[in-house]
Amino acid sequence: MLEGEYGPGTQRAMTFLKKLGEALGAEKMARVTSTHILAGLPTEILEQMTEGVTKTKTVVSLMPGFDPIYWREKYHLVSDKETCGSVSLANEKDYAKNLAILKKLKVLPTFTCTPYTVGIVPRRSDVCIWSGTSGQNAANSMFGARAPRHSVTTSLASSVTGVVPYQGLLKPENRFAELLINTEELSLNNFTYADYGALGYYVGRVAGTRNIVFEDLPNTLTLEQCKYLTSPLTTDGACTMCHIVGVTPEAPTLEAALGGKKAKEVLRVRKKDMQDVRDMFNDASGNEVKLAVFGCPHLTILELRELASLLENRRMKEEAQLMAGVSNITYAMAKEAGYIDTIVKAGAILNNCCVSGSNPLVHISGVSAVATNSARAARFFHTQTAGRCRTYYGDMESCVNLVTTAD
Amino acid sequence: MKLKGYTVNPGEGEGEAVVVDTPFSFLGELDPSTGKIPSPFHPQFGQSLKGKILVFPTGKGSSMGPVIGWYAMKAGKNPAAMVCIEAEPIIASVAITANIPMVHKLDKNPLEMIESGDYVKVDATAGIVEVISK
Repeated sequence: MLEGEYGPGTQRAMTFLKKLGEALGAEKMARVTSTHILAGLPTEILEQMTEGVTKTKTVVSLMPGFDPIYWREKYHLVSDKETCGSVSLANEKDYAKNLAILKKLKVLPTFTCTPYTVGIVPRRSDVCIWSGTSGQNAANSMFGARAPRHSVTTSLASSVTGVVPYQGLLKPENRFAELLINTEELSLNNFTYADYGALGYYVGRVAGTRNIVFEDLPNTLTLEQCKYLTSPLTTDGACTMCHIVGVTPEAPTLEAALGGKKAKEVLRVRKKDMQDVRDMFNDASGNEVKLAVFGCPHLTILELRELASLLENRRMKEEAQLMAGVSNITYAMAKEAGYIDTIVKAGAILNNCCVSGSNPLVHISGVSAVATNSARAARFFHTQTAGRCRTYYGDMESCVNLVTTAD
Repeated sequence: MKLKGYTVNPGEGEGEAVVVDTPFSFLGELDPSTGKIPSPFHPQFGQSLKGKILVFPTGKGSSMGPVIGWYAMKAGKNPAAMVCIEAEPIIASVAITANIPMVHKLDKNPLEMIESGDYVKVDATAGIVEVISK
């Protein structure tokens, strides 16, 4: 591939991966099972790495992002800048060009950050090179897949070549936990998704790049609870391997998660640590909130059911909005089940975009106070608006109540 | 003083050092249109990284990093070179995608050997970092 015998795109992708592999100390490449890429990549990068490529070497699915065509058509929101917040965005012409390239390559138009909810369900030991760090964490923690931390350009290069440097979490010996997380001081019985998010955000910030193990969380954690716990681990950190004893396939026991060794360090999460995170994400008062955002990461069908139930016989308050991110497939099922009609009737906005990092209602229209149940979203709203946008942080019901009123 | 390390992305760059003590994410911590640190939650809020030698422990955060680095490259707002303790895969792919000379795994801890304001010459191809104290 390096010699150009498979065309210039493959050569560029392989050259990129070779450099990356050398930087990371990899001695060889590994075969990749599944890749997940961003439709809104800079067009030049996409064109360069796919030039001459007629077929990808992996099953490729798509991340959500900023869709300039959707935002102009539906909400007349466009930006003349190349960024929405500090997230890049392709302009309409480039985005259409990207979609045409991706369609030609028969990429699956999943448009979601939770591919594991729409049929891209990894098996244990599958090699997943996924854009979107929340999906990487889910693949490792919930499914036992090998999903090393990688970027949006690496996942594109792996789609084209079918390989990735053999390093990091691909190696079994690098998957064991070294930092043990103890939560016995916390009252987990009443933990909401927002509480799991605050816990994941705090632990991820402390963990940095280290692998961790939660030793005492309930082994009955649902997919949604796991999603909110693991998705903010990388928001201010780089922890990609999170074992949950009794939940993670590789962690039937604490000993298995630690690889038979003693934890190098123990982190006891205190009630105060949790409160500090809640306070940090609660810098807006409820009555300032003009927008509620759910679906970071994208809502599951159970969450959509809950949202529909909360919006039954309610409508938006004047000048208030509610936006939820959901994949096309989950949307279609929810439509059949009648949830969508209830949600839309209440005046809520549903789309398959990224509703946090590149949400133009926040980044372009300039909404200044947002309610959310996602720690990941709250942090993105803070950091990517240079602190202009403040947040209210609570469970879905309390956020819904801030922007709606009885019909 | 010279430090010896390994190449993340080859090339050469020199300039004034900006030492950031915490892991760095291009998404949220580099505004590609100004080259400054845009987050008021960052201890070095407002600091320009354009043309500087960014010295930091490792990367963190979003997989979107290389896209930010790419737009910053197009706008001419990236650091002249980067030096870190050990690159994780996303910060390494930022350096490669945005063609920023970068060195890591030095024989001495760069956070202890380099101070903000020092003049630093990075030969990332050879893996050499030369520090000229301010």
